[in-house]
Amino acid sequence: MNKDIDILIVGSGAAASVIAAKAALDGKNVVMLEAGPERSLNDLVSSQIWARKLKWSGAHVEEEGNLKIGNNFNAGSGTGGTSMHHYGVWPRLHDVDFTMKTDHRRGLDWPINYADLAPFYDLIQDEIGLSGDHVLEKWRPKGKDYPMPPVPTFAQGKVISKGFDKFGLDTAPIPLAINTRPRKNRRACIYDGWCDAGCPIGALGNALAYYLPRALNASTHSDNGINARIIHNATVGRVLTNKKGDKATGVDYFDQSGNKTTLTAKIVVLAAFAVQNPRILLNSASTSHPNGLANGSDLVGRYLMTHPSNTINGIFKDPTTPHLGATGGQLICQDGYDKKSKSDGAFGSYQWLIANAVKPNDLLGMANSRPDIYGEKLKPFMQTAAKHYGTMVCVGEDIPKAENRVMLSQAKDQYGLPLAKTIHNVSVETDRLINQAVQQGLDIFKAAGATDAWAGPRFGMHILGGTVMGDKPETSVTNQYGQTHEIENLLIAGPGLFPSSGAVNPTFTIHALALKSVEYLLSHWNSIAK
Amino acid sequence: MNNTISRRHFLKASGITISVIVANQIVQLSPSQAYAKEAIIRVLSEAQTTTLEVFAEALVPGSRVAGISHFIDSQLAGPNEDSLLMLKYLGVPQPHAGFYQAILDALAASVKTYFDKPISELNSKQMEVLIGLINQDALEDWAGPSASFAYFVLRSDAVDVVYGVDQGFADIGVPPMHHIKPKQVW
Repeated sequence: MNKDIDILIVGSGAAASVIAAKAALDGKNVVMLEAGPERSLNDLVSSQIWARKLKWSGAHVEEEGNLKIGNNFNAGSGTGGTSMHHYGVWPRLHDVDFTMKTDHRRGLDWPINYADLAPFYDLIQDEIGLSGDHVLEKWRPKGKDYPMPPVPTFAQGKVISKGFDKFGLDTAPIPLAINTRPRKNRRACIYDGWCDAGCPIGALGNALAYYLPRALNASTHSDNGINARIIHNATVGRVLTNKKGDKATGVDYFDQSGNKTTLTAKIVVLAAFAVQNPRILLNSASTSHPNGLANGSDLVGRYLMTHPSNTINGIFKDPTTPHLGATGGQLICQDGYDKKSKSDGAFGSYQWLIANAVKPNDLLGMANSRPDIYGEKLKPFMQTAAKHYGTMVCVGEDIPKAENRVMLSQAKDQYGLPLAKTIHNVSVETDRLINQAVQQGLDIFKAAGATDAWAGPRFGMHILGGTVMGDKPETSVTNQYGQTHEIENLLIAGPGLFPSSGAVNPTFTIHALALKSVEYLLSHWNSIAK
Repeated sequence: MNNTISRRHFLKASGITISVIVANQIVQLSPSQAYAKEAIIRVLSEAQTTTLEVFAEALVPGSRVAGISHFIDSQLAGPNEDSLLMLKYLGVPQPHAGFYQAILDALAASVKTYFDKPISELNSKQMEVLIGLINQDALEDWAGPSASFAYFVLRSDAVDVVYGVDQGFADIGVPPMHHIKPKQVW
């Protein structure tokens, strides 16, 4: 049976699901190896406590640095991977995000530009379905109009937008991979703010709502009638190669009992997110690749990034009904995004995601926005917050630096494999950028009528880089299609490919890149899978 | 749409049900039910349980009867990968039993050092002093993970059991608005 596998994909999340669906519909036999448990949409319980099951549950990741990447918060586990707890905020990268090194002598350039990626954004947008208002998004790069009208703006969004208005800043409905009307047998959102716990009605375009069912239902010519399947609770330890080391032959994985199984395939795709992909490559060292696979230039794991982010919180006189809407927010502001060189030595782009739906508990809930309040004062605060709380989050750009990286730890997991260890520090320029944004956010809240406004702690949102794409093997791990420079039938997919972070949520771009990769792979099948 | 919700389904949708032992049987209860039925605490010691309940109650009133000790203990007794504790994504390696035992022991020891009495006998003024010292990491002989981090984690856990369930939503006027499951999955 193993000989029949055309494409072996490590992971079952956003990138994996796109590749699996397109390949399976093309008649390829696809196997996905998911480290977490099996889940369906019906398993997604609307609770911030239950939602923690969707977060990373695999091997511990050791983290260091002045802004840790927050692996366990940002990464996912189980069918659909990280996409299952993502909020569906799908802005596009801007033109200027692709040329940071050329324009600013910092970080890295992408091997492609926005125009190269735009057709793939458009295709994904048509398939999954996005809601938004391309006219009000005056900063939006050129692309097809959204196929669905925007999400409504509830009281929280209306209240906070007054502050933006007073500073002459524009806001627009946030572009969301969330149905605002029934579409393609998926229901419309009911704006109950449970996106973080996964969306059981399929309104939010996660992997289980769209691409995984298409992959798993694809039936063309294979013997058993089904072209794709997922093996759950399968932790991949190594990618295997031939003796010469120029061809991937499969992977070793461990089941829950610790039994090791080898699967062989014509193509291996690592789509296990930005930390585990480098870990697997580094753990796959062999005689022909003593420093790990695809690591001839010592770049595997490097240029690790996260979006430095900060919440702004406030209590408003007007009612805000903060539990309503989408977790990702109601409005967006990208005014000034394209000007990366800011005043006073700050550098980078940032965006505001405004009026996120919030629940009473959890890390980003109302209670933890003021961890200093306890005892008898807590309930009155909660009662006020339940009706008058508002929040927004600044998503900032990281500067890719080679010293920020994923490495192997001395410590090992239950299978005897070295753990991942990450180091991530933000530069002074980035620090200044977020400080400026926070001050702006507080001013906006006060202008919007907040009787009290405060900033939350800085945190890392999303994880990117670590297996960056580029033109040359000396400066990148893969080419623009995610093919590793050293082994052409070993591909990387996901946010690890990003050479720079931009300051937008990455999931739309992850889908677009995965579509670009799989289309290339399928159109060059005979040469790559030889 | 199917609005008929079984008791088990309701408990599941309400946010937390935990496996606990009552009268030698493993049953699924909410933490508050487990507290009311005096379900067996399996991982934490009696002293640690007392410390947890007293401290959590001081941080988030109502957390004792909401079942804070049973919630945390049940998560520590279960498989790591199924943990519902917020600690799961705060970067602390599992298993988490050692973390909780360490901070609760450190808390009890600090109370003894500073006030020369058990935590359950502190008056409200003394509890306020204690919380202030913990928040500032100012307890001189604190042994264990950072005291301010311990405060954040225990307060978050207590918020979970009080405000992360339907009763807590209702108490502050937030409609839970749980999704209704579709009749069929596409």
